[in-house]
Amino acid sequence: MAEKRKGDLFNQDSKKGKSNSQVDFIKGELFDKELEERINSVELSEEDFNSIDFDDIDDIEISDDIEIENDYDSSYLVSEDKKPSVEVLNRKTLSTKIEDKKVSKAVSKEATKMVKDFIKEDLPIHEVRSILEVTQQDKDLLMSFPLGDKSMSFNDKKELVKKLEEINSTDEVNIANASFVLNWLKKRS
Amino acid sequence: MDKEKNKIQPINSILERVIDFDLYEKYRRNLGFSITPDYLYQWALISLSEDNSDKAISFIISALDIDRKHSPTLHLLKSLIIGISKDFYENGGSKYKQTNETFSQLVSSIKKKALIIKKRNEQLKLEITGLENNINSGLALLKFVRKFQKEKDLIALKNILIENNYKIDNYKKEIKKIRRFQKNEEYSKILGTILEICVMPKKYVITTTKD
Repeated sequence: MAEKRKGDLFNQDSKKGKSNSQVDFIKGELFDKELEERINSVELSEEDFNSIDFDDIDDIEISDDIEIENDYDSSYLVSEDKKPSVEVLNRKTLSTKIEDKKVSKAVSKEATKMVKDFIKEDLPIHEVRSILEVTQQDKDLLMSFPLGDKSMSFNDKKELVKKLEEINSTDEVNIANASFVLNWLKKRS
Repeated sequence: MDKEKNKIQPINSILERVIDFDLYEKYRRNLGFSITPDYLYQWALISLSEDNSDKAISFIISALDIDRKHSPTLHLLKSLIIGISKDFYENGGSKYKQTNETFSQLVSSIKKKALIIKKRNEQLKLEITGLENNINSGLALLKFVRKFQKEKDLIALKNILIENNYKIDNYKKEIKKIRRFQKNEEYSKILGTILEICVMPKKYVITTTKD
């Protein structure tokens, strides 16, 4: 019912050949200016501001007339059956001194399967690669990004970015890391 | 004066060296397995996939505490830093940084704007109810005349209400975005420092002096 009313209002507007802007519509000739002023005159007093708990922003109710759009895609949520089980690695094969050839074992079969699922579902491979490849632009952005603590000097930061570029693992691990990070970023947006 | 560098070693390795083997074995076995950097790295991935970023960072710290050169974890750290930085700039984070306000101040000022509109909406709802009651009271002929006279105003008021709700919704989205940038900044500080500790350790070496 409420949705229909909202739709009707917009339709009236478009039928008149005006723009769909609600602002145009409310400035119609017959609109009571006094009424408009009365509405707009409502301001928060100092007392109001002092009594506001700014953490209550989520309590601001949206009218039933408006359909609230979900900010996230439900497909990004990890369903119960997708939650990986932890594969406990064998101490004999994975000591704290890992040889490069054994590194790929760091990504469990479950994680590898999840990566494949991410890519199959909604992670374009070129986006995954964009996390893996550090371009000059990325390095420039990192230099102006608040990386590390305040005591980090410009030269330290430059060296850090250079060292960051050199960090690498096996292809399997690299792709897994980039996919998990990208998937995490998408879920946050 | 001799200078001696202290190298931080995992507790487990120290115990293995310094206490009786039986005693070491007894407590090591209690866990049923030995924590390896790989194990912690996997937990970091799992935590990320469950959107538990704080936990993921804790696992990264623990993994690198065991092995500062653990390449899967170091690479995960690198990917996170690059990803967060890209996310920050691609979503307009730098635009917000150009203002003189901190992210917290920005969030507060947007909240104020939203709350003013919320107050206006309360007034608006009262006006709408009053107008509707006025239109629907009295004889049928009066109702018809009032409806003809006031319907336009009623529609306009409802339209303002809708528009205000859109504004509040947009403010909420903006707050969500800024909070995300705020979190990105927090992550980049901790992750950048962890990276610095691992790849440029000289700055963090604790030296003790001996006479």
